[in-house]
Amino acid sequence: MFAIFAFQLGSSKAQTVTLSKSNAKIVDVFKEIRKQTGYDFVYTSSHISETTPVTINVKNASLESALAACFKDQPLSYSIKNKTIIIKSKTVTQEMGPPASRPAGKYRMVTGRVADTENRSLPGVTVFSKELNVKTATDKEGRYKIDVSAQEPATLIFSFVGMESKQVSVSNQSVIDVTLSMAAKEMEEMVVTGYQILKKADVVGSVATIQAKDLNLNGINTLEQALQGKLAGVVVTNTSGMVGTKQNVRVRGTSTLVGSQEPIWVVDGIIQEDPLPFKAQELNTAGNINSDNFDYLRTFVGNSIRWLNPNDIQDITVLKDASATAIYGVRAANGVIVITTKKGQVGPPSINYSTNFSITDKVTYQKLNLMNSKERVAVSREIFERGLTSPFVNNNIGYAGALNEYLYLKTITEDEFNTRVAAMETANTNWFDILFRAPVSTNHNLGISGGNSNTRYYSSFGYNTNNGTAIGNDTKGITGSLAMSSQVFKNLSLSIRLAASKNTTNGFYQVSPYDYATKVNRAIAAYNPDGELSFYRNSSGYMFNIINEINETGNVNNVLTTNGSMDVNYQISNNFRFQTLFSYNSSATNGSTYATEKTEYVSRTLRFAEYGISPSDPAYINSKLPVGGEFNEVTSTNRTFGWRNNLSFNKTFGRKHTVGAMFGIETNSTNYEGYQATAYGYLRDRGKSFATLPLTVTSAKTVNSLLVSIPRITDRRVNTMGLYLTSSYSYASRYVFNFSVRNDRSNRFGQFTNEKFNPVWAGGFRWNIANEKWFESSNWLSGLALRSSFGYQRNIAANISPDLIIKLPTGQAANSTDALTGESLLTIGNLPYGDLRWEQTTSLNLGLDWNLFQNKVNGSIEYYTKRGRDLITTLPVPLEYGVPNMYVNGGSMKNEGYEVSANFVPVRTRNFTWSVSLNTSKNRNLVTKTGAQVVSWRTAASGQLNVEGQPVSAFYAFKYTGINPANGEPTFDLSVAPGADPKSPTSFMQYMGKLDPDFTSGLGMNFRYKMLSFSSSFYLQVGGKRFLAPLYNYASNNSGLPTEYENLSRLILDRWTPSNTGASIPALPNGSLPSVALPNNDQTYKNLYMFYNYSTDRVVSATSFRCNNINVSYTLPESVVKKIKCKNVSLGGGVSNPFVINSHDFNGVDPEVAYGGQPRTRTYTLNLNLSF
Amino acid sequence: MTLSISCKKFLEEYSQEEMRPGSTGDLTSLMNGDAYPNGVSIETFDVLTDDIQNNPLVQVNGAPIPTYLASLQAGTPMFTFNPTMFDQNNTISTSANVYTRLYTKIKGCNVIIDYLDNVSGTAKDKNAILGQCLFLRAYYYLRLVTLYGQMYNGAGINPETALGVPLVLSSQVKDGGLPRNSLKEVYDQVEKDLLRAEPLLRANFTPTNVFRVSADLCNALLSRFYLYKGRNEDMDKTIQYATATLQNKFILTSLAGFVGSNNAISPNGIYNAASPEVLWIYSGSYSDINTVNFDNRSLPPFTVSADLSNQYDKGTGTSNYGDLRYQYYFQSFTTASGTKFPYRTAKNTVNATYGTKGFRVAELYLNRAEAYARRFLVSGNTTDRTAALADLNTLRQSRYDTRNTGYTPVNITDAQALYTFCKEERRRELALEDCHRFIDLKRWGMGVTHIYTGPDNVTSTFTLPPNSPLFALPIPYDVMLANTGLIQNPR
Repeated sequence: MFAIFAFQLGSSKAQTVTLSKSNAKIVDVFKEIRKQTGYDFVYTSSHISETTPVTINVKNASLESALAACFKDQPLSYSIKNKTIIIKSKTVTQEMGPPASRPAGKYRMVTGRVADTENRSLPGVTVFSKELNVKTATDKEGRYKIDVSAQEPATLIFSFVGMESKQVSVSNQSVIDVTLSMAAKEMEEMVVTGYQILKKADVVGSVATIQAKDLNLNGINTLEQALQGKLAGVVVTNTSGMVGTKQNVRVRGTSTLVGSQEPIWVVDGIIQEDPLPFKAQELNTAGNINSDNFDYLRTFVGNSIRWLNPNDIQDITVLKDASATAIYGVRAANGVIVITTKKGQVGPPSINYSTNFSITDKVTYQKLNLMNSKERVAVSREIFERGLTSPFVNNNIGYAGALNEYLYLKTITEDEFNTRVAAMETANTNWFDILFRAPVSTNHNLGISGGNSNTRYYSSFGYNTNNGTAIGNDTKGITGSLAMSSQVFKNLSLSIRLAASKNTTNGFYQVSPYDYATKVNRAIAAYNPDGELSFYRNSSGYMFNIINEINETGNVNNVLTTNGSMDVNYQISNNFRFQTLFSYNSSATNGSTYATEKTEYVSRTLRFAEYGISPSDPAYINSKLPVGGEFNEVTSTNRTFGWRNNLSFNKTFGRKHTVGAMFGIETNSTNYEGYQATAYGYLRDRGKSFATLPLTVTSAKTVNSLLVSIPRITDRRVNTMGLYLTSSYSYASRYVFNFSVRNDRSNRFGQFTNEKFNPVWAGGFRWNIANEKWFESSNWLSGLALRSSFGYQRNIAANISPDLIIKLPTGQAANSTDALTGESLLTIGNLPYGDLRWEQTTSLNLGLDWNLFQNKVNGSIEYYTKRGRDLITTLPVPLEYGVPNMYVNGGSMKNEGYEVSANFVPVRTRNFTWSVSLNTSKNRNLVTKTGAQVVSWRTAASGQLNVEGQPVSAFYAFKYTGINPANGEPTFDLSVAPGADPKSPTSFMQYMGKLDPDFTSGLGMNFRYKMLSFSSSFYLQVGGKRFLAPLYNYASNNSGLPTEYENLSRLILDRWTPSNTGASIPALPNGSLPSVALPNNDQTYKNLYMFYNYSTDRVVSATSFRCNNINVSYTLPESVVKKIKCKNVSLGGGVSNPFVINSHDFNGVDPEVAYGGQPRTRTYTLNLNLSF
Repeated sequence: MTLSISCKKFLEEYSQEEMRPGSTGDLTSLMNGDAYPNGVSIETFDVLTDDIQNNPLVQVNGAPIPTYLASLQAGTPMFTFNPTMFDQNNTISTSANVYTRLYTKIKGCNVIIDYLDNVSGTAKDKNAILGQCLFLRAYYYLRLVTLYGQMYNGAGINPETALGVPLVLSSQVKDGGLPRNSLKEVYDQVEKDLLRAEPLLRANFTPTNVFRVSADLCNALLSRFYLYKGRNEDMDKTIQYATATLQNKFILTSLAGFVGSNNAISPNGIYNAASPEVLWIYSGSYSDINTVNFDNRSLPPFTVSADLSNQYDKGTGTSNYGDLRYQYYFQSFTTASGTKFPYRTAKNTVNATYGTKGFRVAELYLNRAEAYARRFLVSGNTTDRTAALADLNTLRQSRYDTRNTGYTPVNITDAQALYTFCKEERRRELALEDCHRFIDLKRWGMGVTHIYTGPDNVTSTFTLPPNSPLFALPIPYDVMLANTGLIQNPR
């Protein structure tokens, strides 16, 4: 976009100028000057794009002074040659240049240094000596030298792009150091949408941007975690405290019920694809998620942006409403998160090295409030003494085991029994000490950037290791990237980016150390007195030791990613520009999990005998896998190319009417090729070889079913082609109208043949009130803009079709050929759903942007409403139809909410700055129409029962009425509310609220005192309720009576016993408890203790206030920095997750993961940043 | 032009494994996969009958053998006639959820029947597919209605009002409840489908193997259908359709031919794909509770009952084994001490993956004999008596050890005794085979008594009284949850 704009005008004119303009475009000012003086201007459009509006008021002034006034605060300088004014960017003055001109008169020299608020030297700052009308620029160390008028008071004006100009009056000092602060000019920020770069003043939709420097990347595992609480409308939920796992990201709530709810990630305009293909969750008939061996792997393979080095990020923008995302088409229904990476800066090579070390706290028993072994043995003793029974008891271990041997088997004496019980009571095995650690993680990052006005480059190299608190969970990664942009010809620019990364993650297979440590009885020993591992007979009947189990299983994956993109821009004419963007991404994932023959998992599921059986053992001949373990492998490669061409047009008519349009065509192809297989007989310790499986098992010579292990090949190809158009019109920068439309075609199988033309469209309007003539910028209100947008989108969840689709059976159970007849087999992939239509979503967004108190406070308020109609839902249908559910356009949903985000700078002085950023959002989600569904107390308690007029995750609990003082059983009020339909569980259960929070808020507070800065970020969640983890675990074989394997919450210490009838917790369950009939004749689990787990007594508020991190950093003074030959040195330290305040009912457990997952613990980080 | 072609190709629908059915060939493959049982294992419910007994768990190294314990726990609800056996508080093995499994197959039949007109192919091919799907649908409904409904001729049952199962006859899926049709409606539909399938199959389809259905099988199933319907007037049709098949397929396997030299008994299944006695085979052999990995230190928790093994004539020794069915129909279990017990069925062919479900010619002789005996009971017509005895003796002769000793035909003159003998013979012949015993007990109004020893070593007796409402099996809880229109069987 390098074009010369030259106005040739022959006639000579007077050289005085009279001009009066406010907030005018600089080009308009040039035109006026040219008209009045006859001087031509030569400049490039890139110069003009950097300018700020000009306010000028001169009368019969000289050309020079008119130009000086015009270029005041502009990043431009000029020179005059032969009646031509040549405009240049203010170049960084390498040497301290002499003052530009020296008019006669008395003057003296002033020197000094210009720095920013963080005391970084600012090169290239324009220093203007007002009285002498001379200017210079600071050198690379930020120093300047200029003459000022000897007559006091002289005035120096310091100006720099993006900084607030400063006027200093000079008395008799000769050294003046100046600090410039960032201009908080919200209205002039640019917004990157991935397709366009728009002035914020022209954006009609809802967007939010965060700069990378405002994200705390220390002590977090993924970028998503760093985004928690940073952007209004983006909710990030942690599902686990392990490293290498994904977070849930939702933009403005949930808008579809069956499709993917994840937003799409875009890096430098390129949509990112996951390393493994999307797999919809498969639900079994009981409503639980079916998971196979390979899902263990999937959990630890990160998402589509895992390859990106967070240090390369410049900023992140989230596009929230229909108007902002329309250009992305159907895929953007869940929001778009656009990441822009760093570009090189003009100047000599600048090298930046940063490193950090972090150490994470271990999880401890204090956080979990679990019994010690003495307390636990007392529970077992009570079970025996009170004669409590359960349908099935395994008397192998613990107190019950010892008692069994003493009383029934009579293999031990009373003394031996007492010794064993005493040993158990004092065992107190600390499983967290054994299975967890306080790991050290490190990060190293090296960046080099530089360039001249034609070519700029940025490259980085990063290495990180992230160790999880659970021993055996870690990730390692290497990333490298190179970006270059170049002005090849005057009207052709090119930028290229290459990046590659490799990540390795180690996780767990078939074991969960956290689960084990929190659930298992502490009276069980991990080691024998002789130091050997202590095995015990697990409920499966096979010998088990968790350390052995962890050592003998593995889950590792390697993801190798390479990306390349090329962006070419060609300025065809003044108004037309052509852009082509080609990208190619490739990722290879290679993951494997295994369990060796020494594991209890293999004993239990494959060998059906203990490890070490020999061919003479009867179990050997009966075993399908007498030797060896299991090995699963997944390899998957993903190749994606995208090619985008667009033509844009921009023209201003009659000074006030600006029209812009962009039309483009985009082609994308994503290819997944994968292979997954399970092999049996794995011998890890014998050269990673495989044993031969027996052909038949048992004396009846049954064919060994493990021999029929069928591998699976994935071959998925998604091609899409889209046409898009976006146009805008703005009148005098006051009224901005925008309209976008996009239509996509794809090769998806089973398309709706009648609905191939399905454009997404959206439009919006923005009113920059502050630019109105009548708007008087006052002290307290300096900017105001109103936005509104409306969009319409149609969407269909993939893999659902209105036609009958048949497919080749895949997977272990089925085979594509009939084994008996050799005939080919097919199965139904999709039943014909005759009247299935696309989903429709309409959304409306209203926003108000404002600046108060001279930009000290700025922010925006938004309101949105999103109505989904004809939402495709899986409707459970009678199983007599042969399918558990069908797809119908049955649902309607309404999401509405508001978001407020604001930035304040309450104090800003030379030495002290205090700034606050705040965002809050409230989302209200309402199901307005439901179809028929599974109506049972379980769905009501789990939040899956959709009730019209209630939010999506509304849930119900049994009305707990206290403990029966006679027997300690919990009692409930199961009466049906008058007038209610007894068939619905809502008639006898109590509405408790919803699982999702009502209101979330993020708060960031930053302080700077001289070279020391302090930053913190907090996250508040209000509303939302949860059931606590059950106190008594009900299972079909134990009726809730604790088994010897289980540890229990210390809350159970205050349980009902015959001597403690006033207890707060019901008594230990007795196995002979009958089922309780419910008014609606529900046939699912009906035990009193099951009800207790889902009763009003167990509901807690999920409201919490969390401090995400606190950081301190110190920039070394320049004198020190110079000595060590650096440009800048800063040191810092911080702590992540320092504290959480939440309902006391949680007893210190993190509410985000209080229901089984591993909590995040405190992480302490030290970091060092050097630049040369 | 090239651009638009390449563009078209770029956007051509693509899927690794999916397709739109276009020809009868596609539908045939779909039928083989989704309408035929195709490897789906279906519970035999033998554990509810007097053919299975429970053996106490033996402690080995201080604990019961884990797989035995698991098997005992899985089998307990059914073995103890717990009315909540199919509720969520018990673990239901997937094969025991016959209700869902069969309706999934009925869906396959319905989809193909509905889609036949939309594909290319000859009328003959389409009729062949239609005939097979109608037969299969009828087969599944007959199984469903006999398991989950009362018997058609049960005491105090009015077929017009008694609850059968919901009839789903189209692939159209709808929401809302689906009520149970009456017994009569379901039986009428089964009859209608079978009568329609027979001529279609006769004219258009000759199976090349025993895994596909045929017109003769259709008549055979009709004879079973009328026997199950069970009113006196249905007996003529039982005889008529059994005879129709027996005219073409009448060969019985002579078990005496199985005995090797030196009187060796080596495994040799009656369900052999090459055997002329077999009309149809589909998958599966054992009930899940009989598939436990055995351990010769202790008897598995559920084995063939002593009551059943006592039904067989054990002969006089190796030169005359007597009733060879005892030798060939049961897989034996040898404990460490060397004692042999009949454990589970051995009707399957060794080293073959197909099972012991389907239809054998032997059943036709038994169906016809029972129908004749019933007629004799009512009318006293001696031709019926001799016809019944002829069928029974034909069958028994092929089952006895006739190597050295001639077969002695049975001769019974008392009508009631003849009818009882028919029942006993049916039990001996069809033991542990695809639900026969459970439905026969139900038809004949007989009860079952089980002696059960739990993991806690406490022994108790459980009884399923004759004509107990529990004979109409409780509908699994997940089915009840999903279908609000269903009424649970009284239990």
